[in-house]
Amino acid sequence: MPGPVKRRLTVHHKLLLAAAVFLMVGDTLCLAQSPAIDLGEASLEELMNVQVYSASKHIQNASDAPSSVTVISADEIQKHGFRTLADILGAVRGFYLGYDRSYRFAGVRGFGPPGDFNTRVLLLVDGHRINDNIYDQAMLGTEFPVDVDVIDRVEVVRGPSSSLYGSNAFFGVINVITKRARDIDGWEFSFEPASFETYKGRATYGGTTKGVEMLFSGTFYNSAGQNLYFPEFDTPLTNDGIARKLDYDRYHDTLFKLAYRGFTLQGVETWRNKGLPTASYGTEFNDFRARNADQHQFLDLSYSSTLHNSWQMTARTYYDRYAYDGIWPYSAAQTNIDYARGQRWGGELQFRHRLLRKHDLTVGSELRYNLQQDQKNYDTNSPALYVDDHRTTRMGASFVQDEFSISSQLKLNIGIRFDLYQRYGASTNPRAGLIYQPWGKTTFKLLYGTAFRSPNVYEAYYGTGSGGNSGFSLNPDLRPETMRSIEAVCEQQLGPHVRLSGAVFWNYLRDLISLQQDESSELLIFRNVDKVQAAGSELELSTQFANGLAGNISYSYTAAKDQRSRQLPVNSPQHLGKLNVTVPLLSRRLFASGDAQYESSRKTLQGNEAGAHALFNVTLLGRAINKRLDLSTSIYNLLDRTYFTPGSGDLTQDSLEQDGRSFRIKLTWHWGARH
Amino acid sequence: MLQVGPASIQGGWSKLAVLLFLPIFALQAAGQRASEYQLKAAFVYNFTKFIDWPGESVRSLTFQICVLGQNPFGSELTQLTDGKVIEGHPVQVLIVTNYHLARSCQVVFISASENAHMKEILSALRGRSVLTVGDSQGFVDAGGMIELLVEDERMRFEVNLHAANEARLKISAKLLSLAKAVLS
Repeated sequence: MPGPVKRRLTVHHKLLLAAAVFLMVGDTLCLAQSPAIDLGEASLEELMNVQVYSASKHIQNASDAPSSVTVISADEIQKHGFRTLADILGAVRGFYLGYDRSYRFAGVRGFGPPGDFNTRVLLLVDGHRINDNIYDQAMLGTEFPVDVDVIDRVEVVRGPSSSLYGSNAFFGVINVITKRARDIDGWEFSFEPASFETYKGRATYGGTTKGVEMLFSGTFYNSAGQNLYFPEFDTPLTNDGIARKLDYDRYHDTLFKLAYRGFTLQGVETWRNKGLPTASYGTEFNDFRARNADQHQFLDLSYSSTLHNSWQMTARTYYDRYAYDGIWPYSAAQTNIDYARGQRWGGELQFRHRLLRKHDLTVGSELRYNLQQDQKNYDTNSPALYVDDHRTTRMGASFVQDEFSISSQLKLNIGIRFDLYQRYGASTNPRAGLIYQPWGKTTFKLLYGTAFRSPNVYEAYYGTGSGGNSGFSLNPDLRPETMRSIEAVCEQQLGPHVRLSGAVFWNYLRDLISLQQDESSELLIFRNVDKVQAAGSELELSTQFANGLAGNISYSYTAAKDQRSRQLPVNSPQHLGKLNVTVPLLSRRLFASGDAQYESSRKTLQGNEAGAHALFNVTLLGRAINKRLDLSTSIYNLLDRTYFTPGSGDLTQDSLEQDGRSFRIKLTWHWGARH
Repeated sequence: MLQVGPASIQGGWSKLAVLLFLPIFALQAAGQRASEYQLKAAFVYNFTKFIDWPGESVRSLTFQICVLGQNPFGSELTQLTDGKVIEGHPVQVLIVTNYHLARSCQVVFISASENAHMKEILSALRGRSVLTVGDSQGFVDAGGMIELLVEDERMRFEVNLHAANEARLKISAKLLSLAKAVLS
């Protein structure tokens, strides 16, 4: 983009920054006027004059939500020995996973085309968008920027949520909520040795000083990985198909969070280096140089407050940086570098107001500036740039939602969001939900919504540069892809401990962006070609007892159809079954947990089948041993089942074997007031 | 789909940014301030000063304030009551997940996470000398004793005197005079 646009952007930054500084100064002045009150000693009359400033921590009642929602708590993460966000999602109804030894992928409700970087789910950390601004990737495996130990809960909201969140909120929103300083309350140290020479260490501190809640956490992870055998490369020239010492995985994460009154300043930094044993993109097999490096950093300042007349306000401003380097060796002399750098800056403002006791109104808007969206591809030994693209783009959006309590039994939730993209124009997405609670324990929901995903710069502009042929052709004419969805949900509470929920859904996806080969130039090009229709049903039974006994069993059936080929789409299992059980062995001290995941067969890109499989994981957790120590041991893929997931188009392998049986031991020490 | 080019978008952006962020500092209000659950914790503790439990009901060594369901207080309630004595017993804060366990508490704060079976919980506690406090809408109507609510940025409470009398808890006239509404 030419100069003037850049100048204008800096003016915006100054304005937003000034607003943020003003906020902080303003709040400090308020403090100066009124010395803090000792709540423990105050009289009731005094307390009645204290102003409440943060009502945002209220617990959302899942049965009131205009979607089907699953919440996974820190307690469950610890009891089940989940290692990554992907592990957590694997145990959630309707989700299924894949791993290409580079990134983890999640399919949802029968849709998970291989090579799609989870672009059709929106991933948030404390409400902050994680999907990057080059590939739109939702990072789920070891590449996810937050240690699972610092997660307080994960909220999985199913169905299209573009009416609130905009692009990417196709199949759902995964909102990861991190712990607060008071949840740690002291120091925590954790050490985990695991199979394949894997070690992870973490230190976390949470405390309050002069009214400022502070949380700091840092994690190191190093996994040597396995020597992997790929039959597709089983020739004497390619080391008999064995990729040696190329499955390594290293990362470090750091997170800090400062909370003062209604303000929260959060910073996240992550760096991850993953060896590439698969020889993807036709690179040299078993070459030690092959790896992917991802970095993600962000700073996020949010403020929430209850204003006059019980208006509740949330404001947010943030800065993100993303960097990707792919090192792809083609021969001893030729190393290809795939390069991406992204930066963005933005602000969000939201108001919530209760009107006449019947309406719960939310209005909000968002501005996002993509300051940098650079892509390059080149060989280290040549000045030619196969891809050389630099962008800056902007978007803005406004939305409104109303939860209208028609009667005590009937609620109507309607919302609409208008998104304006500098390059792709506008998209308007509505959502309507009717929530009917005829008697206390039964809830019916009827939901309709649309969603969209704007094309990312990788899809539109990863093309042949001035200096040579990348094999890709750019396509600036790409349009947003869209989805339409109808869902009926029934939730039934059976006594105090058992809950039954069922859902029937129909999704219609249009103008899906997928990689094609151009007929004349033979270059690869992204086009809006695919249409997919999926209908299905899900059933889930959850139980929870006070002594810690808990269980959850679910089954999902999906019939998806690729409208172009009139066949079942690739990587779309029809049947999914999940079972999660926790049994307390010694009251509140010792827990045994197990989870089982069944998937029916999935079609691969080359028309073969990745067979059906059932996986079992078990974890034994001892809590508060010696008051300070938590110790857990886990076995993943207990029965050592051999199973495969479909590979993407950049791989020679049509399907990839997943990990066999593996182990993990985890020790966590707590040092603090509570322990 | 409406196609809008870059030129038409640019003009209003800076104005929009200012308008969006203006209300934040314009509506800042002065005065004593505290977070919602800090304040709610203080209220829960304060209520105990205005209530008399029947002599035989505090049988345990400690005066137990329990939180039933998902704990919204974090460590606020524990910190606030640290070292405090009620009815001659040191205060102990317990998080309980089951209402059977809540029966032996002197105060139970019922979290909004239990909304789905609120009536069941309250009927299970009926007749026991347990003060029930909640912040879900309609808590006192459902048979809870004290409901905390935020109104005009201030904490208010409603009392169900009938439920308290049934549990043989004596609520002082002063507390009733401060209540926003008393059901009897």
